[in-house]
Amino acid sequence: MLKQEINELLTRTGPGTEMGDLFRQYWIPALLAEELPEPGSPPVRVKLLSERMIAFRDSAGDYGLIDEFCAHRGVSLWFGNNEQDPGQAPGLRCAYHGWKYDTTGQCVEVPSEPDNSTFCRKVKLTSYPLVKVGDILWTYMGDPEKRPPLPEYEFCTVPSEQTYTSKRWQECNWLQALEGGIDSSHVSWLHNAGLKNDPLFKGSKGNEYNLNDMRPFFEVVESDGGLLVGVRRNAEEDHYYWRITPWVMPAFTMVPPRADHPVHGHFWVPIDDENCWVFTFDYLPVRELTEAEVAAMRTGHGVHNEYEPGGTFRPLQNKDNDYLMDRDAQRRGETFSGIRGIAMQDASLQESMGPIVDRSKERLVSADSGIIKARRKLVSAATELREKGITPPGVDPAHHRVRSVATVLPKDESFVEACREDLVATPGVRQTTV
Amino acid sequence: MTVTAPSYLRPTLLNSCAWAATAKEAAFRIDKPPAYVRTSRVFALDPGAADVVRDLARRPWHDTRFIPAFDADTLADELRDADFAMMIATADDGAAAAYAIGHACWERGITTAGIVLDPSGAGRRRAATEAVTALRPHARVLLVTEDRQDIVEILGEVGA
Repeated sequence: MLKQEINELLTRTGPGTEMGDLFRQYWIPALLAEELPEPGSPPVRVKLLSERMIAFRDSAGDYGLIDEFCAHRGVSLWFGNNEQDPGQAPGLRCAYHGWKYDTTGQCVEVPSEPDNSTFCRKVKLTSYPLVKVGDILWTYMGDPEKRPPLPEYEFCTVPSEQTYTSKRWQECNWLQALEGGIDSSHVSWLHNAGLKNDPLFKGSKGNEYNLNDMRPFFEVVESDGGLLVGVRRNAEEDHYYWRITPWVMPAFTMVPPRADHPVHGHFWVPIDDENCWVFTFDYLPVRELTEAEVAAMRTGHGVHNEYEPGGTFRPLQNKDNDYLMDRDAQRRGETFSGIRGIAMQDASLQESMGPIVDRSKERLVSADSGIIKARRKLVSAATELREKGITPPGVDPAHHRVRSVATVLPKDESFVEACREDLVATPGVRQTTV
Repeated sequence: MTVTAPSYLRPTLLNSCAWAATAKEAAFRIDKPPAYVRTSRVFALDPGAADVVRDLARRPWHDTRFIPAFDADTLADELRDADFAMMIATADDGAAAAYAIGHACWERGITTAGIVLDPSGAGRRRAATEAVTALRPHARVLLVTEDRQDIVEILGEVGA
């Protein structure tokens, strides 16, 4: 059980909070690049770390992420006009009285002022950088003086034909979602049917090890950027099957691979304290994704999901329809929880904990040591940042160049030693998988 | 007028009296914590770990006993009624004790955890040492850490 004040510290990420300050040390995913596909695209409302913003791509193609509300009367710039006239300077013009802003939040025109007025130069909205790396538009919401180098996670640095990213809205606090990514002991239970049936999972020898040994052993080791959580199960005589999950602080996890299937993982980003974005990627280091693989991802297989109609990022299965619970499928063993799809199996249970789970009432077991250690590291990093100004793990792009691993090792081998190279993202080198 | 629900809206729990997961519903959770008792034993595997175990013993715990020096003759008594055993190592010379404790726990269905404390901060290097190798077969969970507070946290979290 966690003290209530520690739970508060870990789960609150708004401006001025300790965990909010920690998140503001990192580049974090803000939205998918496909949401602003071309110059002049309609603006998009974005809420991150409890701050409401507008993302837009001006007619020159530059990205901007600025305060959602016009400095004049406080109306939402979502109604604004992303001007595309060739004779006009690029910018987003407020729909109410025509104030116009560039991608840095600088006001460039106040129509009610005289032609030669310089008043607009004195008006500037808060803005954050918005940069495309891979399929994602990333932002950094911290002190501009401390802006770190851009992220180098492998899924967003491989050629675009080798990677696919989706996102979904999850209606609970970011931490209980992240903890599901660190805790791989639930896979043999909650996702057991998916290991047999899902086109992006099935057919791996590793699945057999998973399903044949429901009581895995855990080994948790600190890494430069966070943790490595090794889970071992019995394999052939004198060998263990290891699945190694890296967690890079604060919110990046990778799932160990299965056979030659794409490797997947998540970035768990707070929207506010009761909602988060789950950015979900699948990629391969050395080959293009096939059409069938991408089609499977687009239709919600693997760790992706289907959406409510209308171009939303809200899952089709959500709390308003009880996640389309199918008791018959549960009875037949087609799903363990009655919920279809690996992503929504996780999300449904994590949302069922409540918007912010009360960790003072939980009762962990030693198998949860990865979660316990991750919380400790987050608290420690947030405290050291606030009290001593120490840059937390995971800011350095070198910490991003990690991989998950699935492998079979002799029983007396350390996974850390045996997989030292496999755990590093190396261009042109295939993932280590079983 | 008949209202037809969209095809994707298919509530199946019409007999439930609460919707899942809303903030409002979360407020109605029963406030009394679930009953939960752990009977724990914490073993030191080497002299350095003995100091750690003695320190830990000074804190308030529930039903936890701390054993700074392994003694094969009293092991069975120490494990009586236990359901969780933690083994702490700071050096490589506790393999025999780890084996004895681990084997005894396995026979009795006692969950085990191994902590390799590495104050030097070389966690990843330490992870390959004999201490880890010795503990691996016997510890359901193995944590290599430089921070002894992790031990306090884990014991606290598991209800020791």
